Amino acid sequence: MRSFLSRNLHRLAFRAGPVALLAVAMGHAQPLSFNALTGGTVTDSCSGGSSVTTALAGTPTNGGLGLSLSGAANLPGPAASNSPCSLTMQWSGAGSGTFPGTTATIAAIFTIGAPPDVSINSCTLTVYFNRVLRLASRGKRFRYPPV
Amino acid sequence: LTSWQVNLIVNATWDDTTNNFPFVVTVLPDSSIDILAQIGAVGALSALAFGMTAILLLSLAGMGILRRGPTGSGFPGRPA
Repeated sequence: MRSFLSRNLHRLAFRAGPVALLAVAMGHAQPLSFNALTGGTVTDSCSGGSSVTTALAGTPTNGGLGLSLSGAANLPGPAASNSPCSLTMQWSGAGSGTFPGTTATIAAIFTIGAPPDVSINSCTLTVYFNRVLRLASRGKRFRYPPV
Repeated sequence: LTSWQVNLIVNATWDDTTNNFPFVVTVLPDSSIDILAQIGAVGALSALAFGMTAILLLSLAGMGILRRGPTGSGFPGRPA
Protein backbone atom coordinates (compact mmCIF):
# COMPACT_ATOMS: atom_id res chain seq x y z
CA MET A 1 0.00 0.00 0.00
CA ARG A 2 2.79 2.37 0.96
CA SER A 3 4.72 1.57 -2.19
CA PHE A 4 1.59 2.11 -4.27
CA LEU A 5 1.08 5.52 -2.72
CA SER A 6 4.68 6.50 -3.07
CA ARG A 7 4.72 5.40 -6.71
CA ASN A 8 1.46 7.08 -7.63
CA LEU A 9 1.44 10.07 -5.36
CA HIS A 10 2.23 12.56 -8.09
CA ARG A 11 -0.49 11.09 -10.32
CA LEU A 12 -3.06 11.15 -7.56
CA ALA A 13 -2.16 14.72 -6.71
CA PHE A 14 -2.35 15.64 -10.37
CA ARG A 15 -5.85 14.19 -10.64
CA ALA A 16 -7.27 15.11 -7.28
CA GLY A 17 -5.78 18.59 -7.07
CA PRO A 18 -8.11 20.39 -9.50
CA VAL A 19 -11.17 18.62 -8.13
CA ALA A 20 -10.21 19.51 -4.57
CA LEU A 21 -9.66 23.12 -5.57
CA LEU A 22 -13.08 23.18 -7.21
CA ALA A 23 -14.68 21.70 -4.13
CA VAL A 24 -13.02 24.27 -1.90
CA ALA A 25 -14.04 27.11 -4.21
CA MET A 26 -17.64 25.96 -4.31
CA GLY A 27 -17.67 25.47 -0.55
CA HIS A 28 -16.65 29.09 -0.03
CA ALA A 29 -19.68 30.36 -1.97
CA GLN A 30 -21.91 30.61 1.08
CA PRO A 31 -25.51 31.43 0.08
CA LEU A 32 -26.95 34.83 0.90
CA SER A 33 -29.11 35.07 3.98
CA PHE A 34 -30.77 38.18 5.37
CA ASN A 35 -31.26 37.92 9.11
CA ALA A 36 -34.35 39.21 10.86
CA LEU A 37 -34.59 42.80 11.97
CA THR A 38 -32.52 43.70 15.02
CA GLY A 39 -33.00 47.47 15.03
CA GLY A 40 -36.17 49.34 14.14
CA THR A 41 -36.19 53.03 15.02
CA VAL A 42 -38.22 56.12 14.21
CA THR A 43 -36.65 59.56 14.46
CA ASP A 44 -37.66 63.06 13.43
CA SER A 45 -36.18 66.49 13.01
CA CYS A 46 -38.95 68.38 14.79
CA SER A 47 -39.41 69.43 18.35
CA GLY A 48 -42.74 67.69 18.72
CA GLY A 49 -41.30 64.19 18.68
CA SER A 50 -42.47 61.29 16.62
CA SER A 51 -44.00 58.10 17.87
CA VAL A 52 -44.33 54.57 16.64
CA THR A 53 -47.85 53.53 15.77
CA THR A 54 -46.99 49.97 14.80
CA ALA A 55 -43.64 48.50 15.75
CA LEU A 56 -41.22 48.20 12.89
CA ALA A 57 -40.81 44.62 11.75
CA GLY A 58 -38.50 42.88 9.31
CA THR A 59 -38.59 39.22 8.40
CA PRO A 60 -36.54 37.22 5.91
CA THR A 61 -38.34 35.82 2.89
CA ASN A 62 -37.53 33.32 0.14
CA GLY A 63 -35.17 31.31 2.31
CA GLY A 64 -33.14 34.36 3.33
CA LEU A 65 -32.80 35.82 -0.17
CA GLY A 66 -35.29 38.55 0.61
CA LEU A 67 -36.64 40.83 3.29
CA SER A 68 -40.12 42.10 4.07
CA LEU A 69 -40.32 45.28 6.12
CA SER A 70 -43.33 46.89 7.73
CA GLY A 71 -44.38 49.29 10.46
CA ALA A 72 -46.05 52.63 11.02
CA ALA A 73 -45.15 55.93 12.66
CA ASN A 74 -46.59 59.39 13.04
CA LEU A 75 -45.23 62.88 13.34
CA PRO A 76 -47.06 65.79 14.95
CA GLY A 77 -46.66 69.26 13.56
CA PRO A 78 -44.02 71.75 14.63
CA ALA A 79 -44.74 74.76 16.76
CA ALA A 80 -44.49 77.18 13.86
CA SER A 81 -46.09 77.01 10.45
CA ASN A 82 -44.07 76.47 7.29
CA SER A 83 -41.35 74.68 9.22
CA PRO A 84 -40.22 71.59 7.36
CA CYS A 85 -39.97 68.41 9.37
CA SER A 86 -38.73 64.97 8.46
CA LEU A 87 -39.74 61.57 9.76
CA THR A 88 -37.27 58.72 9.36
CA MET A 89 -38.22 55.08 9.73
CA GLN A 90 -35.14 52.90 9.89
CA TRP A 91 -34.95 49.12 9.63
CA SER A 92 -31.61 47.38 10.13
CA GLY A 93 -30.14 43.97 10.73
CA ALA A 94 -27.36 41.57 9.95
CA GLY A 95 -26.81 38.94 7.30
CA SER A 96 -24.38 36.41 5.91
CA GLY A 97 -23.20 34.93 2.66
CA THR A 98 -22.70 36.49 -0.73
CA PHE A 99 -25.20 37.85 -3.23
CA PRO A 100 -25.97 35.24 -5.88
CA GLY A 101 -26.26 37.85 -8.61
CA THR A 102 -25.56 41.47 -9.30
CA THR A 103 -29.04 42.88 -8.80
CA ALA A 104 -31.83 42.98 -6.25
CA THR A 105 -35.41 44.10 -6.69
CA ILE A 106 -36.93 46.50 -4.20
CA ALA A 107 -40.64 47.15 -4.05
CA ALA A 108 -41.91 49.81 -1.66
CA ILE A 109 -45.60 50.29 -1.02
CA PHE A 110 -46.62 52.57 1.79
CA THR A 111 -49.28 55.13 2.55
CA ILE A 112 -49.04 58.59 4.03
CA GLY A 113 -52.04 59.77 5.94
CA ALA A 114 -51.73 63.53 5.88
CA PRO A 115 -54.27 66.05 7.22
CA PRO A 116 -55.29 69.00 5.06
CA ASP A 117 -52.79 71.41 6.61
CA VAL A 118 -49.76 69.27 5.77
CA SER A 119 -47.76 69.35 2.56
CA ILE A 120 -45.63 66.31 1.87
CA ASN A 121 -42.50 67.61 0.18
CA SER A 122 -40.66 64.41 -0.59
CA CYS A 123 -40.21 60.75 0.22
CA THR A 124 -36.81 59.10 0.07
CA LEU A 125 -35.99 55.41 0.31
CA THR A 126 -32.36 54.46 0.93
CA VAL A 127 -30.90 50.97 1.14
CA TYR A 128 -27.47 50.15 2.54
CA PHE A 129 -25.68 46.82 2.32
CA ASN A 130 -22.53 46.55 4.46
CA ARG A 131 -22.87 50.29 5.22
CA VAL A 132 -22.57 51.11 1.53
CA LEU A 133 -25.41 53.03 -0.10
CA ARG A 134 -26.97 50.85 -2.81
CA LEU A 135 -30.19 52.70 -3.53
CA ALA A 136 -31.49 56.22 -3.03
CA SER A 137 -34.91 56.70 -4.55
CA ARG A 138 -36.63 60.04 -4.08
CA GLY A 139 -40.32 60.53 -4.67
CA LYS A 140 -41.95 63.53 -6.25
CA ARG A 141 -43.34 66.46 -4.39
CA PHE A 142 -47.04 66.21 -3.82
CA ARG A 143 -49.65 67.93 -1.78
CA TYR A 144 -52.79 66.93 0.01
CA PRO A 145 -55.45 67.05 -1.28
CA PRO A 146 -54.14 65.84 -4.64
CA VAL A 147 -54.93 68.09 -7.58
CA LEU B 1 -23.40 40.41 3.54
CA THR B 2 -22.74 41.55 7.07
CA SER B 3 -25.35 44.27 7.58
CA TRP B 4 -28.36 45.83 5.91
CA GLN B 5 -30.25 49.04 6.55
CA VAL B 6 -33.33 50.57 4.96
CA ASN B 7 -34.46 54.14 5.60
CA LEU B 8 -37.77 55.68 4.64
CA ILE B 9 -37.61 59.45 5.04
CA VAL B 10 -40.67 61.67 4.60
CA ASN B 11 -40.33 65.44 4.59
CA ALA B 12 -43.38 67.55 5.33
CA THR B 13 -44.39 71.13 6.02
CA TRP B 14 -47.36 72.29 8.05
CA ASP B 15 -49.18 75.16 6.43
CA ASP B 16 -51.23 75.72 9.54
CA THR B 17 -50.28 74.46 12.98
CA THR B 18 -53.42 75.59 14.73
CA ASN B 19 -54.73 72.07 15.09
CA ASN B 20 -51.31 70.44 14.89
CA PHE B 21 -52.57 67.29 13.21
CA PRO B 22 -49.94 64.57 12.86
CA PHE B 23 -49.34 62.75 9.64
CA VAL B 24 -48.92 58.97 9.64
CA VAL B 25 -46.67 56.86 7.47
CA THR B 26 -47.88 53.30 7.26
CA VAL B 27 -46.07 50.35 5.72
CA LEU B 28 -48.55 47.52 5.93
CA PRO B 29 -47.27 43.94 6.24
CA ASP B 30 -49.36 42.85 3.25
CA SER B 31 -47.85 45.51 0.98
CA SER B 32 -44.59 46.32 2.84
CA ILE B 33 -41.13 47.18 1.58
CA ASP B 34 -39.71 44.08 -0.05
CA ILE B 35 -36.14 43.36 -1.04
CA LEU B 36 -35.26 40.28 -3.05
CA ALA B 37 -31.82 39.34 -4.29
CA GLN B 38 -31.87 38.08 -7.84
CA ILE B 39 -30.11 34.88 -8.72
CA GLY B 40 -28.11 36.23 -11.62
CA ALA B 41 -27.57 34.30 -14.83
CA VAL B 42 -23.81 34.73 -14.54
CA GLY B 43 -23.74 33.23 -11.07
CA ALA B 44 -25.93 30.31 -12.06
CA LEU B 45 -23.80 29.64 -15.12
CA SER B 46 -20.62 29.80 -13.07
CA ALA B 47 -21.94 27.21 -10.63
CA LEU B 48 -23.03 25.03 -13.53
CA ALA B 49 -19.66 25.45 -15.20
CA PHE B 50 -17.87 24.50 -11.98
CA GLY B 51 -20.01 21.40 -11.62
CA MET B 52 -19.56 20.34 -15.22
CA THR B 53 -15.81 20.88 -15.03
CA ALA B 54 -15.60 18.74 -11.88
CA ILE B 55 -17.60 15.96 -13.54
CA LEU B 56 -15.43 16.17 -16.64
CA LEU B 57 -12.22 15.96 -14.63
CA LEU B 58 -13.53 13.03 -12.62
CA SER B 59 -14.55 11.26 -15.81
CA LEU B 60 -11.19 11.87 -17.44
CA ALA B 61 -9.41 10.66 -14.32
CA GLY B 62 -11.58 7.56 -14.18
CA MET B 63 -10.87 6.71 -17.79
CA GLY B 64 -7.19 7.19 -17.22
CA ILE B 65 -6.89 9.91 -19.81
CA LEU B 66 -5.10 12.18 -17.37
CA ARG B 67 -2.49 9.50 -16.70
CA ARG B 68 0.94 10.33 -17.96
CA GLY B 69 2.15 7.66 -20.32
CA PRO B 70 5.74 6.68 -21.10
CA THR B 71 7.32 9.35 -23.21
CA GLY B 72 10.74 7.82 -23.80
CA SER B 73 13.70 10.06 -23.41
CA GLY B 74 11.90 13.05 -24.83
CA PHE B 75 15.08 14.15 -26.53
CA PRO B 76 16.06 13.03 -29.95
CA GLY B 77 19.63 12.60 -28.94
CA ARG B 78 22.53 12.94 -31.20
CA PRO B 79 21.95 12.38 -34.90
CA ALA B 80 23.37 9.15 -36.17
